[in-house]
Amino acid sequence: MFNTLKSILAKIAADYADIRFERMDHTMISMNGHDLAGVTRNVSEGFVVRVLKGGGLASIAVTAETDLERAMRTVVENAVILGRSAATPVRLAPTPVLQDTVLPRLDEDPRNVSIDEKAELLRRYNAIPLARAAVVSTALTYREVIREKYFVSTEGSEIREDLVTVGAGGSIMAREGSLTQDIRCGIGGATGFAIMRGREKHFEERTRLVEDLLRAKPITGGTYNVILGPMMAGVFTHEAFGHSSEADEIEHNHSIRERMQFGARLGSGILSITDDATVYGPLGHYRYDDEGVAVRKTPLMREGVLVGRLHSRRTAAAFGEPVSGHCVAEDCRHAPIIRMGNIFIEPGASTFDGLLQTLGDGLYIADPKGGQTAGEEFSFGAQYGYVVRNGRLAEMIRDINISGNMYVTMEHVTAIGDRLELMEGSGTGGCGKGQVNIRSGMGAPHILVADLVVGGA
Amino acid sequence: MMTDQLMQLARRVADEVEIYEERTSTTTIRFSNGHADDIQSSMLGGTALRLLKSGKVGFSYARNGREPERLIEGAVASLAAGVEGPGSFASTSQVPPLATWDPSIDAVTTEMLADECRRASEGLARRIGGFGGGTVGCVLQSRVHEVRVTTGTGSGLSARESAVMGIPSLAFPGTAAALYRQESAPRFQPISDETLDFLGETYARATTGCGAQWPGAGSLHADGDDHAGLASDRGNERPIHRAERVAPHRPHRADGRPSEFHCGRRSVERRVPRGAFVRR
Repeated sequence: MFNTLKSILAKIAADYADIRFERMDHTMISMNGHDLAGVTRNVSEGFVVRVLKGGGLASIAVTAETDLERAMRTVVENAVILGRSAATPVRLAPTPVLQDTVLPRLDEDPRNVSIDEKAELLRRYNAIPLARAAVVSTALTYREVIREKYFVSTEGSEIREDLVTVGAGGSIMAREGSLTQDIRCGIGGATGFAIMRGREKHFEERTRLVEDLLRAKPITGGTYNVILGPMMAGVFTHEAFGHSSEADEIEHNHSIRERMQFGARLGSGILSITDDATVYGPLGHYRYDDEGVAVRKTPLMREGVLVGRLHSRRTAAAFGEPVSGHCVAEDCRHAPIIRMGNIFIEPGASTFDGLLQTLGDGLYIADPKGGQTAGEEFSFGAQYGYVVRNGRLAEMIRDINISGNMYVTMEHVTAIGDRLELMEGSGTGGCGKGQVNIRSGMGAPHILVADLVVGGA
Repeated sequence: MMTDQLMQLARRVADEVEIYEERTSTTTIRFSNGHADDIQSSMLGGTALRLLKSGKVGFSYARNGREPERLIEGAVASLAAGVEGPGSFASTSQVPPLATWDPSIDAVTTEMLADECRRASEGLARRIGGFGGGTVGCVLQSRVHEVRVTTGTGSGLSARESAVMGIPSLAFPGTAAALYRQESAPRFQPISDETLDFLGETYARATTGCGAQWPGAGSLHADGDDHAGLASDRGNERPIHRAERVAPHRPHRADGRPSEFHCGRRSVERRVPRGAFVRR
């Protein structure tokens, strides 16, 4: 494959060019309630060519090899047009030329598990909530994505990296009278099919929670001191802070860029945030990004002070900062853009009980349920929570939303738990910035936040 | 994908066969503040196969054109899972033609899209008193889409559509909100003055103190939205177009006349067209 790609690149007259060929096998099994709604096995293949010429960096995605000649002419022409119309010529930050092949160490390769066995496993997990009288329906999907990626550049890099992701997730709906509640569930990851086995407890736990939600009280809106659960804190970290750490998000936004200067104090003195895709195991792991750059552990905030940023080669050159290896594409239909790998809040010193004691009276808010950000403002839903009274979890609450300003909230982090938890991959997508990145990992320990605005239904 | 070969192979394993083929070519150019940020093109195709056998349905798709056996293997595996299918695939062979294709799309070049992006950006900038550091955005996309559905019973349908879409936008100071409108036609056509007027006037209405007062207008910064709001229902999309230092300015229409909107009197002669809205 490398020779084929090199021969394609050899036909391009440009200052720089790279080509990525990707083959993706995608299996999906869906259940709606008791019914098997669909089983598909699909394959995608395609090339993405990027060309830098005359100061313009253009890209083209092609699925049919027969279209490649025309595609190459198009992308070169587009790069020249872009160079003529751009405010400043594009430069790419230098990176080492690499030749490597990376195959994942899998704890059971999903390709060796029959589709019947996968469907049976999903049926078994699906039956757990459906056995309960209060549960009226489920929507569960098994997804398996196997990507084989080849990257070649005119600088001489030749990299193959395979990524295997499996997961099962969806929602469980329960009803009592006129009240309907739902809860999300999800298992999976990037380490092989073994992570899917023996996970009955997860579905039992989620079923118990949705049954409890039928008896929970709607939250009364107000400003509270709260403990955010690891998944809720992880989503806050990803959405509110992480995207502002992506250089392409802020490069034209002078107000945020001025604020996001290295050395700026943006959070409380106990808050440290890192993106680390280098460690095998968590969902967001990879070795090389789709520009052929080795990803590195990237501290973003240290004790409240901004110290790092996520970059492509283009933005690293434009910002005059080091490359980080975070330019990643969803699949063969897309040119890469800057994405997080595994972003998380570094653990602190407090136990969960210690956090509850410190909180005294307030709320414990667990597990995210949608939301959005607008610049530095955020608003996220939560699946459930508890009132905390005298340092103890009390009654369950529902219909929760939190909102606020990213910087203010980061300043209000007053204690951090000692146990880091990273989100599992349910295979349903981790981040939807332009393209879907199913391997976007995020997490945090429990964190204690003062004066958070909590809205009710 | 060679349809005949796929059909022949698929009929050996199924009672009924349906093949869906699709090809899409796009070029998207994105301008911020009068300069090109990005040009992305794509030539994507794919084939989907549905099989019916003993009342069960199997499905698989492939985004390449060279492995019919693999496609059938996927659909057969899907069939084995036992998902209930329709009694039969549709046998429609005639549908009324739709005016979705204009042959002039073949003559649309990236250069034309870039020129139009530049023209629309400059037109918007004139209406709000100049480029303010990222306020003005414009996206143009040309697209050709072809679809063909063939069944084993001999029925076949095909359609193609052409489109050129333009999305001029203005981001508000100090927020992540952008004002935009989308125009689309089966052929290339300039973004209308009506759209540029509407954006300029509505923007000015917001930033000059008539109607809602934007705190600090004239000195604050703003950001906007990816795809100019094309996917505004996705909660996690991120802003791309940016703005800052937008001077309060009395809007002018394309013909140079002052806008009918008069700051201070809160009178807007033109009604705000439906379909245009401020995001977030």
